[in-house]
Amino acid sequence: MNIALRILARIGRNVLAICGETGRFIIFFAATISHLFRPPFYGREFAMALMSIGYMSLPVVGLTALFAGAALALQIYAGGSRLSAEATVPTVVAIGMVRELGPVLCGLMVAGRAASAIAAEIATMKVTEQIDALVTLSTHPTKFLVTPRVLAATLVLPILTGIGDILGILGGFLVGTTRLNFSPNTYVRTTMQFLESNDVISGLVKGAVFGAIIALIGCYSGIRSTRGAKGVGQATTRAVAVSSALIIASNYLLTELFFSAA
Amino acid sequence: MTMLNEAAIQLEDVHKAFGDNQVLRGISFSVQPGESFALIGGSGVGKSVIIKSILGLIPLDRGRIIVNGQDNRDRKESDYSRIGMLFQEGALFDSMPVWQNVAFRLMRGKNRLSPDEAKTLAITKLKRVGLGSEVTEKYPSELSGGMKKRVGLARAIASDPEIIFFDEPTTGLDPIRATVINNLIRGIVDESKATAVTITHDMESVRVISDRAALLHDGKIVWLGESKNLQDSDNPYLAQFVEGAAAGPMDIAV
Repeated sequence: MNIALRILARIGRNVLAICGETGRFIIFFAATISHLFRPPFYGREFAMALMSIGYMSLPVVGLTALFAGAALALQIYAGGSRLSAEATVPTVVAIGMVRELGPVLCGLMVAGRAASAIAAEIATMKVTEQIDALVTLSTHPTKFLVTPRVLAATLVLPILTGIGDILGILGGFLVGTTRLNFSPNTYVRTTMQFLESNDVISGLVKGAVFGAIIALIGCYSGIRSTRGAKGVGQATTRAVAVSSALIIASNYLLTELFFSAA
Repeated sequence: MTMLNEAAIQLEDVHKAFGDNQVLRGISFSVQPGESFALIGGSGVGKSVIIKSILGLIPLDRGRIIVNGQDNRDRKESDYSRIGMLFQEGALFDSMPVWQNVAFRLMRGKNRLSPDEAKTLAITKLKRVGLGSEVTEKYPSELSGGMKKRVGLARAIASDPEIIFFDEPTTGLDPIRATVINNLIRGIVDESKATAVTITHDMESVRVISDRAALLHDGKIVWLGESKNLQDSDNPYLAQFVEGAAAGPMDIAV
């Protein structure tokens, strides 16, 4: 009986903790949104966030997309040859990249780079009382630290996704034309023929949602971190793990939303 | 303890707990305009909690705090422009050079200055705390502990606040630098006529900086009086604290 009660109590505590954390995150999210529309606006912080989240992520996103597109072309060719469907390589690479692989890989790469960096920076600021200092300097921490990062990530991730899409398709093109005997003209024509604007738009919308997730989770983990170096480490790890999981989960929901009726 | 209506800072029956740990148990005191007040006590007795409560960084469980006639619960972001704070480790923004740290508030808000004007004023404030132009473009990571304190002090006084808080201003400094910082703070407080609240366990700081002091122990104020009477008081708590005696009414776990 005692053991059963203890297990029940433990489950109860965990459920309460999850509810509490969810509630705190919703309040944090609502505060972030409300600060988006109220002055003052911090242009310098926004520009710095664009640089660190967007520009600095370009190499890793570009390389990942390029090789993912190349590998996809090889796989589709190998699989397609069993059904005599080798000709579908350009179409499937393009659709696969812009609908799924482009946004998801871009999201995961930026989560690994930026969510951890955001969480570590804000957690360190908390540990060293810089966030308290902001308050005493008449500056709201959410407005100064969170809003610019969330706005920047939401705007820049679709751009990164678009670049990733192009490089992924380029990777497929290079493999297709050099290793799989496609003529460049045929490859490009087939790609353009079957790729629809909805495919591209859905991928870019996914990118925007993933960007918001990355920045929100990164900032929230940093602000909620406990004191000390261990707390900073935990915040960083949590930011990457939670934002990556949410990217995968929200990707499924967005795919349902865009394509379930198709 | 007398509560005067014109007090710059007034605490009334302030209680605060963190989980099961009751840190403050009915703290009441007031600080008059232009007065320099010190809160003293051992590590972990809640000195920082009091200062952060006055600043509105920590919500109270019970009681109220009035700063310049305004209840803390009604304070807006802009009201902080009348307050300056020197944090224990400086709390300087790592991503900004020294002058931008000092000019942070000057470049923001309704009455913000142009970057050039703000930089000129920041250099003036840095000079006031004994730092030359060679540090203006440096980043906090390039500064020593004492320099960080000075930059933090310059930032705290940059907007000529009416109330300045000093959190352990000499902690981590050698005795010579501690004396310099103490004298600097006293000089700034005297010339600005600002109200000052210092939390410290350095008795030399209390003697140099403050007019009055309160000793905190076990969540309560156990002595409050003029700093010049620190040595002569027959209060057993104060006597133990001033002498640094292990035995006495304060049972401090190490």
